[in-house]
Amino acid sequence: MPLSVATEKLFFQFSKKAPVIESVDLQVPEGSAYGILGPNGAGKSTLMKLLLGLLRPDQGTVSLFGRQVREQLDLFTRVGALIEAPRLYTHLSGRDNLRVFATYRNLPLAYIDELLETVGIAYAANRLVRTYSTGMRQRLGIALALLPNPDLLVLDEPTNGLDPQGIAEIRRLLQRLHREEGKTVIISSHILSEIEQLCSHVGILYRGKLRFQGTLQELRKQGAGPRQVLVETSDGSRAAVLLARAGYEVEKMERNQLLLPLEGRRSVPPLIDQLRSAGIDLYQVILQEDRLEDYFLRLLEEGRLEKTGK
Amino acid sequence: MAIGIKQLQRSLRAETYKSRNSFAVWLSLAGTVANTLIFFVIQYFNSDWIEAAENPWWGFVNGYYDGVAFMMLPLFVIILCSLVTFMEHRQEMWSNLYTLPLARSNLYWSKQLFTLLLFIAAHLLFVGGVLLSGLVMGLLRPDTALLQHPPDGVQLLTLAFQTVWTILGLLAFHFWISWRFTHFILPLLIGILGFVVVSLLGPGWFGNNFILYAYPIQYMPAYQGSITLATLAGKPWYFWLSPLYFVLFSLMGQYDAGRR
Repeated sequence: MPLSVATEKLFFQFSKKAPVIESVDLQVPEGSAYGILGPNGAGKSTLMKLLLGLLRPDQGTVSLFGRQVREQLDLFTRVGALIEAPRLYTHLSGRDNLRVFATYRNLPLAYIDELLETVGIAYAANRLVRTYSTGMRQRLGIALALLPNPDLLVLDEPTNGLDPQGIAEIRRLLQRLHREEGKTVIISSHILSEIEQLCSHVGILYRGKLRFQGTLQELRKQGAGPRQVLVETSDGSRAAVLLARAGYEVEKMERNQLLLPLEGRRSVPPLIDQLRSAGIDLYQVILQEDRLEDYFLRLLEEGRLEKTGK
Repeated sequence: MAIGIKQLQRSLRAETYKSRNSFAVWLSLAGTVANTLIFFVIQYFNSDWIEAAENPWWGFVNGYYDGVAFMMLPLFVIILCSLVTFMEHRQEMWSNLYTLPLARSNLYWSKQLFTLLLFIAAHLLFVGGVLLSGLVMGLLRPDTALLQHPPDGVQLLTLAFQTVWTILGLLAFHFWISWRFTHFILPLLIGILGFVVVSLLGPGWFGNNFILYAYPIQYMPAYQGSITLATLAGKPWYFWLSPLYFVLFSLMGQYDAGRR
């Protein structure tokens, strides 16, 4: 599959003390929704700035649509971006902000009203931006990114400052752009659920290094660790002894609850049979699968340990 | 080349949209009107300019230019450059501007050109204000005989041209440092320091020919009537250095903007 964005051995540091981006080989397939996931300070915004040519890498290359970014200005006719907080002229109205950038890009002004409608701030088009709320500014920032009708949309934490309804609206908009219009969307976030709902691909960035890169399915597959089962019985102590004798590693929880590691769903019925045959009543049996979030946190923990040399 | 000029035109148009309701435009308007009013009051209570000259407009107009050239003009240019660039610095607009399919040099030149045009527009407003003040003065003080004589268009045009011409170097230098330093105060401090130094040195010193901040106070004593081909040869150093400085600092600024 052709790549919309590719970096090779990307390296960047603000000072000589510690690199912010270290040997990152990002591969964003064309038409994908790619989520750059990482905690605060992981280097997400810096990586995005490097992709857009706002920062120059100390080493490595950045390619957009198969061409290296450096000195290739025409590439940016196909790119829309929102980096960090939306940058807006607060002494102008929302419409005039779009008008300024439409003029720079030689785009028809007629498109502006449609765009304001799309992001849901048409009602405030003529109001000065200094009177806008954070959410309205975020929407206008997204409108600015959408202005050139880009093939590639780079959005740094696009739902920042939005209320739950706004988050859902922007998510739907991005999903439509990605699924129906086939645009490549790169978004960064520190919230896994946001990436899960929106993206087809994910890259996990931690302390400047890409810890994982692949499809969301691959991440789920890789992240699917040992399953556990939570069992609540009428007699927790007797059940624990019984299951321990049968070779289970039993962890006793509060009251009559037991936690046991299991290979798969098929091992659940024999477990129930054993307890029932010993006359122990079962009140609930809950299968607990390792969640993506747990895997994400584990990856981050590994990264942390690696950095501290433990 | 043609594409570059078209892009520059578009960027200039964008700058114009951007400047609506901006501090830079308000300063140009309000500052110019305020200056004209202040000097009108000074001229009203001061009769020194009413010389036994053939045309009272000469002294009247010279009084205005003498006043603004000393301090207002360099200060206006310094603040104007800072305000035009601060519009981008304040909201960190660079991340939007630098992801446009435009060369950074294009952005630099369009903004600098816009600043120059804004300065010229403000100066034309000033010239209009001087003419209007002269008419009002003639009405209020018939002893000035301003209404009995037409204003000297050649004098006004020459002074207006000299003002813009000799300010070119200072404008390019201050535009560059205002672009370079994101802090609003720093270019302002550099400007004030430059102004204080040339004020202490005085207008007579030859070295002032090389100091940008001295040019506005240099050109007034040098006003010798209209500029013709014959008088060009006798023009002082600063008259030729100002456009050279303009080219030099513009190119340095363009290089600096592209490099960062």
